[in-house]
Amino acid sequence: MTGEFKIQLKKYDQAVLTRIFNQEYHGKLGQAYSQSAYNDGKIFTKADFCSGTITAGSLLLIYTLQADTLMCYVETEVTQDLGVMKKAINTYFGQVISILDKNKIKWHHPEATIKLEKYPFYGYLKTLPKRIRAIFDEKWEKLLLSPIASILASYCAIRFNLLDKDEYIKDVKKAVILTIEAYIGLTAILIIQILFKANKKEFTFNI
Amino acid sequence: MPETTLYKEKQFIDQLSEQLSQGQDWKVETETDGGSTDLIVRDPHSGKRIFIEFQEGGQYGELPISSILSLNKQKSRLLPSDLLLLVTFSGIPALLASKLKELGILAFTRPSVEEVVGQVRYAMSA
Repeated sequence: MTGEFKIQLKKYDQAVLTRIFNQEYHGKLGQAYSQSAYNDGKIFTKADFCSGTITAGSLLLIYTLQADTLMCYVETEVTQDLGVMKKAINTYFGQVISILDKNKIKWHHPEATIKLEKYPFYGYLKTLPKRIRAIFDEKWEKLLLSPIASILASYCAIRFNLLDKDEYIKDVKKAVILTIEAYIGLTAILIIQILFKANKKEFTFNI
Repeated sequence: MPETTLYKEKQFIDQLSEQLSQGQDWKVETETDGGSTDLIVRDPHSGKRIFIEFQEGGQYGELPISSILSLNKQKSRLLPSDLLLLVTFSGIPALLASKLKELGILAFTRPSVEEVVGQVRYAMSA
């Protein structure tokens, strides 16, 4: 099993990238390359990569720039555990973007994939708008439908003489209070998500 | 893998297999391995074989560069007279395309059935 992630760069100078990555990874490219599936040199030689690193159980190789795109190869020792690969991709992705951020190199449109045999798994970054949309998708029924349904039910009851006007007004008040409570709750959830999760830059995989 | 891609691939393989079998003396075999399918076209007279491999990049949009590892492995198992074709409905990054060329693997991106049939005919007659 192998993984790959790619990032588009606003500034792309191969010499600068090679220098900053090798500085951070302390020239571990040779070690990572020799442990990788490419190590026989038949397909890719060490010169096809600008940097790399190796940690217990996984390795990262950064290909030389492909136009404005930085492509990174991830390999894990454990070949059948998707969880290990997901963790390795997110760890190296975190390191790569922090090196880019540190050197004020702007990046955008990150994507990742895990290739298990012939089947690819896609990984994407949950950005703030995506998170807010997901929260609304989960809650919109409660927020909109519950108070409307409650008022409608009370209205029907009064029309068919099941409730008197006072009870109807009470029910409407209750529905309004419930709606306000739900909106306050949602706002609180949004604030928590924005504060604690919006800055968490890691790939979510569709598996 | 998105369902539409799978359906497209399956439909493509069925049509390709049918066209390759029509009016030719070739033997067309379908090899299914863990849900993925490849085609093997054999000419019983010359003994020549053409392997057609299907690979997808899914939502990533293109094949990962490391796809070359499995293709190289497959290529190394073939005889020098065999030919390996790669068919994909995703993109092929430039770096991967150049490596495929170096290995002598013919790659087709979003081809028509006729295009692949034409290439097989050409390769069989060469």
